[in-house]
Amino acid sequence: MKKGDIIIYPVVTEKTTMLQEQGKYVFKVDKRANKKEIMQQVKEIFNVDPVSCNIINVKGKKRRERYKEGRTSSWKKAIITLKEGQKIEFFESV
Amino acid sequence: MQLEKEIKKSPKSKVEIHVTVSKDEISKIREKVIDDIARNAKIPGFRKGKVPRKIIMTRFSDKIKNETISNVLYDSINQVIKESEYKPISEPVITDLDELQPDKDFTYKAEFDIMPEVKLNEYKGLSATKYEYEVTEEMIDKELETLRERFATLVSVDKEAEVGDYLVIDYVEYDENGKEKTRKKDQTVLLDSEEDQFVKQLIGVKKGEERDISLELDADGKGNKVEIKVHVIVKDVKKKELPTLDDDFAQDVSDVSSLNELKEKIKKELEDELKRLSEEKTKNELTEQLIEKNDFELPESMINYEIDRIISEIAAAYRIDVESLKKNKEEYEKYRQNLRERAIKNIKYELLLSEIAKKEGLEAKDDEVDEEIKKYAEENKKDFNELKKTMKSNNSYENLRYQISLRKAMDFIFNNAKFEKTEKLEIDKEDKGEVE
Repeated sequence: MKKGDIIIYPVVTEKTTMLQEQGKYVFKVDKRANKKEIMQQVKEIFNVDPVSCNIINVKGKKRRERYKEGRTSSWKKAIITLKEGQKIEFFESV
Repeated sequence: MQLEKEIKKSPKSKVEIHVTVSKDEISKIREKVIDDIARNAKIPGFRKGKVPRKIIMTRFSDKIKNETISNVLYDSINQVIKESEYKPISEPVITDLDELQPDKDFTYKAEFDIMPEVKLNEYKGLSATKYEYEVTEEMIDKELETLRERFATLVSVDKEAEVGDYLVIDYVEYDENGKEKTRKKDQTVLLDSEEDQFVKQLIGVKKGEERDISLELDADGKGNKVEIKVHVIVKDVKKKELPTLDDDFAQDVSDVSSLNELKEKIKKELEDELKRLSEEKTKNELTEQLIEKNDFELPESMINYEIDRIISEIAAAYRIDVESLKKNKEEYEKYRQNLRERAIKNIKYELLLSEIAKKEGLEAKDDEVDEEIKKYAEENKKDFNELKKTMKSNNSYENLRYQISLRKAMDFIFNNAKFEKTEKLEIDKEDKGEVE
């Protein structure tokens, strides 16, 4: 895990678009990153001030190929709350 | 829709429109387009129809732009045409198109063809040639001769075969190595000419005779001669016997009772035929004049449409596939070019006649159309009422009415023409439809 490689992609769904109204932005992040690192990187990339960061470890879903069981990979979801009034412009154009 | 427009009529029945659509109208239409897309868009992470507009706008920017342009064009052209006095007969073609930009008015140019304006100058008293005709004894005799030929019978004769006789034969054909190739039975052959090597070797045979003949054939089409043998068994010698011209014959070939009546009938048929031919010839002349004296310009699309129609007509008659013609592009273009003159003439002829019919009140009435259908129904053994019903349902009733009015217009021209010259009608054999 190199520095600057923490954020993988923004999560764009109905739910996350609703969260944007509260100044909360959701990303898929590297599994090994912690809250502080994530906040730091969001600050650097988007030039905003994160207030808090919530992390959810999303478990991979069970998938089955005939009798072989497996699962899709697990990932880490980070919900960043920005200082009131701030926005990440990038999200507007996705 | 609010728009600025400029309508210009150019030659060849072309109308040019120059339209400016205001930015407000454009954005109204764009909003509608976005709504439409949003209602059906499927993007992962969103339920159908729940995708926010912002995301739609970024994801579908190209689609939104294209649909907005086409909607704007469609709506505005329709509106312009509706508000104008013109009725287009071709699809409008966009000739000049602005880039669609937000917050800017949108302008474009388009053109379409309209029905050409037909001006009637001179159509009464055109000078025409009268073609005279006369049914001669000779012509009747010739018809009778043809009839005799058609009703001829083959009669067995006990004599040596000559040119002009028929043989009934079995034969075995051997190839150049003497191996049997084909075997045929009961073939009737005509000894048509002594030039033919096959016929030459069979002259003089009698019934029951067998003969071996040899034929020189051009085997590969390059002049390499091959000699083959044919074994012929003559089963019968026949002669063509023409029926004698008497009342019996007349009854056989027609529904008349005597030879004289048959002659009368043939005479009448010939007369009708010649009358039709002479009128047709005069009418053709009149058509040429009519077009010359009442000329007008035709829109390009109309000409092309007519060329297409002629081609499909020819293709149907000769069972050619139009698509295969189109493959050779150059050839096809040339072919079209050749038909151009004819197409132009067809259209002008029709438009002029229909205009004359309108002006002179020659439109066909219902009973005239009915009569025509009745005639057709009788000829083809169909039920009149049923035929009329189907014709009414598929528009061919009105089409027939139109055709009759055209014909009446042509008759009107014919009847009002000045016959200044008389000429003898020359008859080609083909024109008379003679069967040899």
